[in-house]
Amino acid sequence: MSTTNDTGADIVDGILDAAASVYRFFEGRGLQTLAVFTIVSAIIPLTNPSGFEMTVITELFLFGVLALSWDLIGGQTGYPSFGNMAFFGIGAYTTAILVKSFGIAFPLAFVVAAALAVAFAAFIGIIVLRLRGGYFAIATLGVLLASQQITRNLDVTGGASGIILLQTPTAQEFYYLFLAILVLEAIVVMYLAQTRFGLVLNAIRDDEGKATAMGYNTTYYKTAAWMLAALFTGVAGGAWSLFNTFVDPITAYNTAWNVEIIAMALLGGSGTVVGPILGAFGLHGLIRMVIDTYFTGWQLVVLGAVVITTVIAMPKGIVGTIEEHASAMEYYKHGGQAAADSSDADVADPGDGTVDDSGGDSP
Amino acid sequence: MAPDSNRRQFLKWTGASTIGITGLAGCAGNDGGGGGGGGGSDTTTTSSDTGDDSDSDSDSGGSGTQTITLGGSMSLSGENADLGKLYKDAYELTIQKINDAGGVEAGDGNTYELEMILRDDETDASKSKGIYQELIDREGVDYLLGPYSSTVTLPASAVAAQNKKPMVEGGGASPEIFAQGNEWIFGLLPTANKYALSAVDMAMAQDPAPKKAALLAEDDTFSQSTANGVRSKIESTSGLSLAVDETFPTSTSDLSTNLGKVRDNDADILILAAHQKHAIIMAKQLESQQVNVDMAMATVGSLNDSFKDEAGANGDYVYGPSSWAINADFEDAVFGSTSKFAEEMQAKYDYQPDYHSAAGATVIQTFVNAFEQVDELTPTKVRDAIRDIQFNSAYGEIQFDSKGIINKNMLLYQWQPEPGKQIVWPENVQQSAPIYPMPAWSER
Amino acid sequence: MAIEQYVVNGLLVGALFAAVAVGFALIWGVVDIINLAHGEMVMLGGFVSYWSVDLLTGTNSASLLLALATVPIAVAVIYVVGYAMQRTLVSRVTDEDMFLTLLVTFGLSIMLQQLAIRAWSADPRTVNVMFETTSLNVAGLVIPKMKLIAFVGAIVLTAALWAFLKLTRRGRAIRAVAQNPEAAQLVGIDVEHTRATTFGLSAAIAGGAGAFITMILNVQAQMGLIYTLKSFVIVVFGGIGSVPGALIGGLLLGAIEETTAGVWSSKWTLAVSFTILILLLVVKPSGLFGPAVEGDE
Repeated sequence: MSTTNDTGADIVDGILDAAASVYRFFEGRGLQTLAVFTIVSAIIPLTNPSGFEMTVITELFLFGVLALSWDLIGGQTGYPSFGNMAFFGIGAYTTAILVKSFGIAFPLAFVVAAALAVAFAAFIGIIVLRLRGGYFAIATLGVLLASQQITRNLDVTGGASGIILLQTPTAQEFYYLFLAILVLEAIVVMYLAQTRFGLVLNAIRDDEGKATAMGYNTTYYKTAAWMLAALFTGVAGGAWSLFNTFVDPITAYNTAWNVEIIAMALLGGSGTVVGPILGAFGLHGLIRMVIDTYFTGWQLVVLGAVVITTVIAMPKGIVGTIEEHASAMEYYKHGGQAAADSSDADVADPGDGTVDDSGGDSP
Repeated sequence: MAPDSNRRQFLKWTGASTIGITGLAGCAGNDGGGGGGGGGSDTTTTSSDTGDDSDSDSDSGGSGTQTITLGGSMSLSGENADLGKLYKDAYELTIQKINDAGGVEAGDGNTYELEMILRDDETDASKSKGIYQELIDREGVDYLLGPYSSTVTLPASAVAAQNKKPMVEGGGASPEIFAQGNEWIFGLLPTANKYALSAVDMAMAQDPAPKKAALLAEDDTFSQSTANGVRSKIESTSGLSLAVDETFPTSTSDLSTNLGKVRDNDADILILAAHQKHAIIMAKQLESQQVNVDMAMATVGSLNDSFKDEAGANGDYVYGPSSWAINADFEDAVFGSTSKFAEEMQAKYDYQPDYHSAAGATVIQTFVNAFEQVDELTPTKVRDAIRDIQFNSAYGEIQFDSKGIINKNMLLYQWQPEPGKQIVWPENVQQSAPIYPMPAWSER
Repeated sequence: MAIEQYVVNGLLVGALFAAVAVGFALIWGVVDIINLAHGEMVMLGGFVSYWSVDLLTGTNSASLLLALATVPIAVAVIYVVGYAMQRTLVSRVTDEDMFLTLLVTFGLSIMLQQLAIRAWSADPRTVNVMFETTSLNVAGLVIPKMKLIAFVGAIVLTAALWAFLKLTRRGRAIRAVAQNPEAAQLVGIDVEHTRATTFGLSAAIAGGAGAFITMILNVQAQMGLIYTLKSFVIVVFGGIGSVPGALIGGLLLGAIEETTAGVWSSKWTLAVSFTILILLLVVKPSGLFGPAVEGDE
């Protein structure tokens, strides 16, 4: 494995080994880990943290949902969308308008917002899901930008000023709301990943032509994944609009966030359940706790650098890299030859990294 | 083997990036924001002596220096960093002078030193909520300094209301901020819808008065508010009609088509509700599109030196509003007078202050004044004191209406070829008469 | 106002969009990268022009000759920037997934914008080119002189690029690498260098366009994004890798935008452009001129 190596590389190796052991411990124990996570997260508000801490953790949950939703269509199905935030914006505005102008109660407003987001996804999906790769990315970007522009020009959405809501639920209610959405989505994705649905999605990502040739109705699966992503993103948007007490076109149809959630999914490890969540927690946590405080004035530069560095150094993301390392070591331990560079699916382990059924993460 | 080279690459890259960024942090950046690589100015905490970073207190009784902490966020990076700096500088100078003079003698019998925590919100509305929440919860701040830009001020003011802490701001002029029934927000800028009114008044007082007006507005919230103010004003002004009313996206640079409409409709006056970038383009394209109007004004961005430097001779005769005049003559408890304020700012920061700076200084003074009035330092009592407050500062006469908006009108300036920027309206404070109509391009 | 005026307005500025988009099309076609930092090349080129004028005259006014002289300077400087960018950073992810390159170039775009703000402040700058009269009246249409010159300049830049690709050795090498990198390597072409050259050229043309934009409009640290976005629309219309396609696409986009502004309202111009983008992708993703260099994707 190593010939003439500096201690630096050995240290990295050591870290990866440790991480791989942790990973193997959690593998296959997805639901239990999720349960523990949920319980711990549910308890935190009872320990009386500050409003700031509550806000940040709530935001972590929010980005977890967004990143995971993106990954459903991007990482699992292989359709990198640059327009997921369009669903977010629709959810946000629908909720805000219903609550403010029509006095509708929050839960009902959420349901309507989600329904609209899903309907929009179905409609747009007919158009854009025909495209592949870069074209798809640009088309979705176009959808996001067009939505933003149109919203900016209409009066019912408050134009460029947006909509302001002052009467909203408490911080604690939001905390649990976002936690609930995240846990729910995690369960759904975890479940799907193990069923044929998830496998077909991955097959579409790996080779759509072959999947079609094998007789799968790829359009159905793609659209379903797309609508599912829209559902959770739309609900998150609705919840967020109340949480933020304020929606305007730029923050609701946020192109920067769209790129951030992609970064989160990738950095964490796309194609897995835990990867995007971990990436979301990690990157957003990093931004809020470290970059905002210590690099005041340089946030965006540092963010850009972080994105560049991580993408170049760890193209598979953290979880992906660990998975790779773990699988490689397994193979090696079985007495095979030194594991060659495993660029994708590993030879020895059939149920490996691409369809992840572990859900281990730490709050 | 490949895994090894990946690891080496990884190390190489992390190392290179860290060095690269530290290097960039070193050479780039001219103002004092440099904090790359950890440490440095994380948040800006100001107190005249270093030492204890105690949070705010509301204890009455007892001697010894106690501190009151004012907290807020400001656009310290990104595209509004230049303006954010004006506020930050004004805050710091005002606090420093107050502390040097012995601090605040509050109405509860104690003397307090002022301390400030100022965070960077990058003019990002999604950040402001979290920042203010953190200041209130983590830092224990009871008295909030508002941010710059209406889009950021809106969510920030909501946080103030929810937590029942008074917020005074000198950077958000959108009327929406004050239309929410929020009882904890006070603004020192006249609201956006007032920005263009004095220009219309001035024009109507001229002979011959204009008959047709043209309005070109950017599609951001502030400009749209200003435009709405213009529309109502023109509607209520007899003899004046709105011949052209167009909105354009922020990212559009080229105004030719819209200016062509202004020309073809024979508009007499043109009001541009946008920002500096478009003001410069308007100045250039009025000429290249052969548009001759009697008056051209921009609601923001046409009065700073940077505008005139870039627009050159095309910037002559252009009008712009300001809520403050540097040569006004107001008494000020901290600086003495407006002119002394300007002197001290020039001396310490090497630039002439504008209304942002004056408003910033007054934000601090509003709180201080309120502290002096109350018999107990609680957020609610301070808020009540601000409601009834009445005092003078370098910025002008300070008094708030029932919505929390300051009672102030805009002055109208014009760039005149010889003397430069002159106050031309209202007449009782004008420095020169307005040069109206604007000379045609063929004669310039 | 007659509709011809709108169309003319659109064509004049559309040529500049085209010049910017041409480079974008090239990178996409040859190096298979969607460069989200492309708009920043325009911005940097604009600043080069501005600071050159400032260096030589101490003001922001220039005679026509001086102003035009800054264009090749911008082209040269931005070429180096583009080459370096590709060689040092982007090449690392060229072989990975498309969206990794999108992320890297996005990160670059953020950094460039922020560094520009740090270095030169967010104030918009412009170069004022001196003319006796600034515009012409032709057949009842108002045509600003500088815009006309910029129009010609943009076409010249585009034509120069096209000629380079068709006629020179390096140009043929670029096309070879685009069609089949392995075969090109076998024939002795330095693929990495060729890719970097392509990137450099693409950035250089954008930089040249940026110089012109500074003269007729202005330059500002965050102006780049809208040019990147418009390049998308244009390239999708004209076809990835196709220079003539991008040219026509740019002119057409400009004309459509200004006509929309004139006849309907300027507040809908962007919504219209992005909707066109989506429709084009659906109807004819390979563009008007088809994939001139590579297969789809």
